[in-house]
Amino acid sequence: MPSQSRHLLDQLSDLQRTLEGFSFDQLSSAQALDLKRSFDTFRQQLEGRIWSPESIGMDFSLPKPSEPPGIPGQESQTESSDELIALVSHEIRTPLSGIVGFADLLREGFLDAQQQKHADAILAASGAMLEMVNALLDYHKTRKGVDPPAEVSFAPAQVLEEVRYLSETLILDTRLTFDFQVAGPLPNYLIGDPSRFSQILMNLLGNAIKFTKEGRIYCTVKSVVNQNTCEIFCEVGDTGPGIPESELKKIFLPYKKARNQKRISGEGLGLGLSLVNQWAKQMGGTVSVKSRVGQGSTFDLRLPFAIGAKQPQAERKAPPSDVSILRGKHILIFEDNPLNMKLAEARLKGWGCRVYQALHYQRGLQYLETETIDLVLMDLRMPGMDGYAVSKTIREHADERIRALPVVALTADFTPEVEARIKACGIGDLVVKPYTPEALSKALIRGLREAKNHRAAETCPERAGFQPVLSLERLWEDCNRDYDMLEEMVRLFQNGVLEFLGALSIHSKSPDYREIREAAHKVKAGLKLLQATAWLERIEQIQDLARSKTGAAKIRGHFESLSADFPRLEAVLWKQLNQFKPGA
Amino acid sequence: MIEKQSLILAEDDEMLASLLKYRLEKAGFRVKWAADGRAVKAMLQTGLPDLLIFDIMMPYFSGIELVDYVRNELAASTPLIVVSTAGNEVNVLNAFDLGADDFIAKPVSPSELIVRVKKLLIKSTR
Repeated sequence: MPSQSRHLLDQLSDLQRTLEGFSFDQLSSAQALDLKRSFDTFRQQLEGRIWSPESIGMDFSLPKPSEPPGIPGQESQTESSDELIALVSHEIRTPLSGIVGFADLLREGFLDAQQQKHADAILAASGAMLEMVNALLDYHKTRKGVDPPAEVSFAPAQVLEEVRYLSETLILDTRLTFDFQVAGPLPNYLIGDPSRFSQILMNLLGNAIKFTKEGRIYCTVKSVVNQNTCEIFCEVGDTGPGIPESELKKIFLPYKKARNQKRISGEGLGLGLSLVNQWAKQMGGTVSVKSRVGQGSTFDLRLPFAIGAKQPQAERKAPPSDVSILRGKHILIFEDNPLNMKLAEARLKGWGCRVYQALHYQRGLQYLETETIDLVLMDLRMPGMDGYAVSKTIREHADERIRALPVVALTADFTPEVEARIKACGIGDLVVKPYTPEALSKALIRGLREAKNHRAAETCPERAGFQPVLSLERLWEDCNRDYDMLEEMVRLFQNGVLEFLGALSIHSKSPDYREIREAAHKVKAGLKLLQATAWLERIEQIQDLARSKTGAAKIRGHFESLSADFPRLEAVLWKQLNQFKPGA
Repeated sequence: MIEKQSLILAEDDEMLASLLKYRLEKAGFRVKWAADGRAVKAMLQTGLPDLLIFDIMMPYFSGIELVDYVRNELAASTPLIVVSTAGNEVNVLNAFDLGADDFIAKPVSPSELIVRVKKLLIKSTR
């Protein structure tokens, strides 16, 4: 287990080096201080968790770094370290998000070229760490069996057809051939977890596609029917680099990517095959591998299902009812991963959309200016400027039409923090990857409809919920009519409110009233300075609820409506700020 | 040149703290900012400033505890202003009992704070 912790620590030292190379003279001292502070907290927590787990009162027996990792039979040994992984991952995610956030803020300031490079490096390193942490959490969830496989009736032919289609869209290289074969008849309906089934196959096929430069990839599917059960056998093979024998038996363990397989940047920790193994086991099946270096690999998957007689659930089968409204719509996709881009493009084109592809955010921002876009599909994790930042840019755009564009986020991990940040950036909807075509089309349709309604509401503003009322007048005087100071205050205010919403989101789930009260108390000062009375009233109600230690649901309700109102509060804030700009 | 008078400003809200620090510095004071009670104690160990401004609600040690610490443990008579939200009168009375010199209510007007700081400093140097 310590190998992945050490991996994190390595990343951390990188981050620290960059941070130390930073020249702080030209940064606002508050920003620099914040960044340093979140970094220090983060580091202390991480080191505390990793090196002295007993300090948190838990009995973890950590293997020494030189000890070999456990093998599948030794579940008990790995179990406690799994708990630790989950704990570490969870604990460090919040401060890590802080680092990402503040690094982001730094980049928006006035930096010279060298500083810009350093800030980018901090952002890239901390972004990579966040990705790792999320992968670790996913892995832990599956191990713990938090997500048991579903038991629904489904049509295997349909699942396999989807897998075939998705795989084809993933193959970009023409030097690769792909054969997908279903040998013999399949039962019409099976009972089990269709999405796990396809996830397992997609992981195996995805790997094959990723690692095979040229030659052939194939998938053959057979079924053996006994009375009421059916075993599905899938063989996924490739002519890729192959896996050395020494690595073969470890391939289904976490973090054991074969050494001769070069890591693809940003592809995480090699949890894919270990997830496949876990999922297959949970479904009562097995997965095994044969491989020869230089010749290729073959994965054999066996999954048992009960034979179903009923109709599969309508939800899966029903074609999205009104995809016709998507026809001819101009959709802009921000997505840095070419495979994902290809996938989304294929889907959207299938519905008759006109697709604009932005593999880099700058290209996308250009499209916004030059093309008439109807909706933006936004990957949240992108290098350079992430989806949150790009969405904010859209929401703060000078052009009213661009400002009002519906934005649908794409993300692989959905956490309360992500939820709060998404709302705060004015992103209207979210699709969790990997997504079904239905989930995507529904989100698109919803986005387009809401945009239409929103435009209607815009013309009579009093209809649209409670108005954020705030005034910068007093703060302006308090700042001695110094615009830079006022701007700094507005930034701090915005951060404060975001922090509050984040805290409220987390602590209202399994309610921690003390934390809620503290968060509410903290945000009040800023709201008072800005005379944001409507918000202040809400905060006071939240405080009262938290004080009486009841009404978690009501607090949650307040959270929802405040989050929904935040983009408007923000818009008013910056609009007012602009009025104080010298020369405005 | 006369050396600037120094203040410790203890306030956990960063926005308010930045604003007050900025204004106090403009008014000619040297300001050290502490975001929580623990930081204040650490600062006080390296020496006493000319005046102290404590917010009451703060992490680790409250403003009240800090007043007690300054007056009774350090036995210092450094002029001291507490900042509190309205409706927290009990705490303010406690602070006065423990030896705070002045009190200012949130939302704090920076101009008012500066006036009070100056007044207290004049009084204490007499």
